[in-house]
Amino acid sequence: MNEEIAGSIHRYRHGLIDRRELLRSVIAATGSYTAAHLFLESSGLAATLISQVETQAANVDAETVRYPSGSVQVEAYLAKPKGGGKHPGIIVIHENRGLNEHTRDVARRFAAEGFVALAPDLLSRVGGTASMSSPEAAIRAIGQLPAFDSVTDLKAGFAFLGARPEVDAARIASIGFCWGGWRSFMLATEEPKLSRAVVFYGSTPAAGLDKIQAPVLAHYGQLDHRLTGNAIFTEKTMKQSGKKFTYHVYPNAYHAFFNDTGPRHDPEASKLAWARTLEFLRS
Amino acid sequence: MKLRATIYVLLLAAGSLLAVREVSAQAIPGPAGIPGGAILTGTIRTATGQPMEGVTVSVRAEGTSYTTSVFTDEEGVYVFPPLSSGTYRAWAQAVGFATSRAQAALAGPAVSRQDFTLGPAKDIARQMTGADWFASLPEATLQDRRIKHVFKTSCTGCHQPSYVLQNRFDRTGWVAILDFMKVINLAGALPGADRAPLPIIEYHRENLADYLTKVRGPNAGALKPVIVSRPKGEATLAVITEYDIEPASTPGEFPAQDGSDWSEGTPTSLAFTRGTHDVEIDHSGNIWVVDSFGNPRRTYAKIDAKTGEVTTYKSVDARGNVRNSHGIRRDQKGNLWFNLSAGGDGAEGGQGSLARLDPATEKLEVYTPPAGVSGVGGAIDVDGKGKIWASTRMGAIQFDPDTGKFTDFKSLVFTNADGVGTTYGVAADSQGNGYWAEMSLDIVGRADFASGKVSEIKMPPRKERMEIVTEEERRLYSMTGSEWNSAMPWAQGPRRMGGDRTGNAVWVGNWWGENLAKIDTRTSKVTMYPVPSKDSGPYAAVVDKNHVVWVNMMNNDSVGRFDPATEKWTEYMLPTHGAETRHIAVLDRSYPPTVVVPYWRSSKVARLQFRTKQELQELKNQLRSQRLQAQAR
Repeated sequence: MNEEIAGSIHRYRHGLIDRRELLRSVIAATGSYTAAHLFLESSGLAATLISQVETQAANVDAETVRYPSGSVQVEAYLAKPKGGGKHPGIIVIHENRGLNEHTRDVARRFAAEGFVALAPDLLSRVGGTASMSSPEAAIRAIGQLPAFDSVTDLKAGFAFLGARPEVDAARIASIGFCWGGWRSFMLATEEPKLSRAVVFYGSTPAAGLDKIQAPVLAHYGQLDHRLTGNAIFTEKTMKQSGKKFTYHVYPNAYHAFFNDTGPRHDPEASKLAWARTLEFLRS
Repeated sequence: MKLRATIYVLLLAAGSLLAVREVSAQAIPGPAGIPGGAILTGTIRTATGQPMEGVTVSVRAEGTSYTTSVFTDEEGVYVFPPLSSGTYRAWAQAVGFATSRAQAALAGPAVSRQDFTLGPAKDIARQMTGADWFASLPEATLQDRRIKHVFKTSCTGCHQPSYVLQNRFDRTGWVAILDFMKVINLAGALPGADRAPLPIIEYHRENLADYLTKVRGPNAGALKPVIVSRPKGEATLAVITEYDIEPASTPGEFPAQDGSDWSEGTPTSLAFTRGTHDVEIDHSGNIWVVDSFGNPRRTYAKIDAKTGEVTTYKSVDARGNVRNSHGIRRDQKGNLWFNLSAGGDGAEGGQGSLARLDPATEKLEVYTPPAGVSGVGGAIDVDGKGKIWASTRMGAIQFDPDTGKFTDFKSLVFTNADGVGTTYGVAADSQGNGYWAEMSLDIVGRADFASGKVSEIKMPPRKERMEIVTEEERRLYSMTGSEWNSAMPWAQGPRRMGGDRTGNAVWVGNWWGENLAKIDTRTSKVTMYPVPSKDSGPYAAVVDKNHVVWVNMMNNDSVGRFDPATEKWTEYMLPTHGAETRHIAVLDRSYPPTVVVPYWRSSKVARLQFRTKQELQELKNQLRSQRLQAQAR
């Protein structure tokens, strides 16, 4: 391991720097955001070290689980509140880089808010995010994944979550970011029992909106033109089908503005979008 | 596909003396013609006997790979420059009239007369240029005006309107086309189900389908064509040679439909006829093209201007794949500079290296920017000091041929994942500064080379277009912005540009704004000059030694000549319809200059040369007196 990374991990382990500072240092050492996340996954540091430190800090429990989706096994990160009782569930769907530390962090944040959060690794069908040899390989693998297979894996995740004793099966929602945004919206068209769907800068399914039962909330960055530009059309189409759809456009925000480990993070927009999301999920 | 003999290539390959003689006997005429050549002349009239001005008359000798075209004057008379002896096909075309054809055996120095009478066309819709279409599309109501403009700014950025409108479809058909076009990428490939559609098309889908069905549905009423593409006066003085280029993907085969016969419509075949992107003309008058379409044979090609022979060259990447190119420019010494894509994926253009070709020795040298410096993109220009400028994804790069050093300049505005600020064209000025078009943002970036400072020159929005959108559309556009091929109604769309190497101007083709913009390189002041035919699509610009600007108008299949001294335009029509020109180059060692334009859609290059009114009149007088003498005998 590179000395700089080793030093940062040491400082992180001893509480001298926080998670974001660790991420920044790994990004600097590996040369890119994608490479940094892949390094943390493939080295096991995300699952073993960061997850443990952060779950402790957030006062939640987290573990890696596996669930069946047809003939394949999907690996997922499961974060939940400490203690007993039933909790609402949420499926957290990653961006187009696979399951990484950012998505795990979002899952932990939900656990800290009282949700049982399941973040599936949708690259499980091709060996999992941690098995990718390079960031390019991960992006290529994501790009080649049949779009509807990942929706199948999410439906299986929905069933897995609903069968868990600590989850209130009537209150399972989904949230997806970027690549996962379309999949969160798609899950709403495919899973009539889904209670809520949240889309962060994702595209809208071309068909099936009339099958949606769950209210849908979408967050878009104003400068993310290709996606955001379709908001009015999506709203109209949902309305015509009698579906509930609310969207917010965040002024001067770019694609992936919510990702606090990425280069386009917008703290103000993220804070507001997070508050709106929690309010929506609890409504 | 029609197989056509490439006779020169075969004969030259055999290397026989006969072949050489054949070639010289079939030399391609310029405006002065072949000494002692055959004269072909005639008058063109309507069925009622009216002489017709601005009719395109084309001839092609058997076994040759080029077509020569001239235009009738105000008396309806055409005169070809003296031609090589041979058996020719001749045809005369004007939009709205049926193509008239003839065969003629010509032998120099005899004079042959071939008159044509043009009757009405069966289907004018196939012949019309894009500008003819725009002039003809209804806009009586506010809704029609709005949707017509959405059609323009979302459906005609990448291909000509004539390509779309030459066929009729029912509403289901138009919806299917819209649903396809809103998601395919630049290379025409379908993306995954999760790709967001182009939002402007998606939002207007129903209204666009209604409008298109109204004008081009099975029950659409008779079209009321307004034809703007017929040249007159000065514009009839061009002599145009069109050279066939064997498509790179299909050796030995040429497109059956190549736009030569307008009644066949705009060419529709896909990959096989496309790729001839940029063009240059070397100091010997030979023409060089670069290919932008992934193919197994060609990076660039040379066309012998005197014989039409095409020689294909390739440059391969580390994996052995043929690299594409996109942009080419000649420097003051006569070297040709073009980009080489990074290679491998067969995508158009792309980032990569810069190549220098000495056309005399055909020696190629490749320069690759070092790590950390932007890759060379697909637009090239040369500044007044002989330095090379190329587009990069987010700005422009300067290459100094003397030191081998690259200097990188970046756009001030952030470029997002959709490439909103991505560079389109590039230009350089006489003082050694660089300019690049951020087409989607209506900004031209400027790099002051000496200080290294980057500034922005803004193209003002089209106010008249802001006034006709609804409140909801206004909200829509605040979220969509513009993309290269789907733009806000008030966009200017600075596309490709040309710098005046000896003056104080950079000229910009404002694609959506329908104007040629002058940037004063001393003050950065912008002055916009409307194009002569509305909606003709000013694409790229090049400036000659007399500061005259030459612009290819993609949507009208024409070439505009703009003289800044008089602020007057002359618009020359190309003999091919549906050519899809994307570049222009000029050789001005003698004057009037020679102008060349590539046909991206139909695999040809046009060479435009010009006669003066006086020269043509003298030729006509000679013919007249010869005729009188013959009659007297």
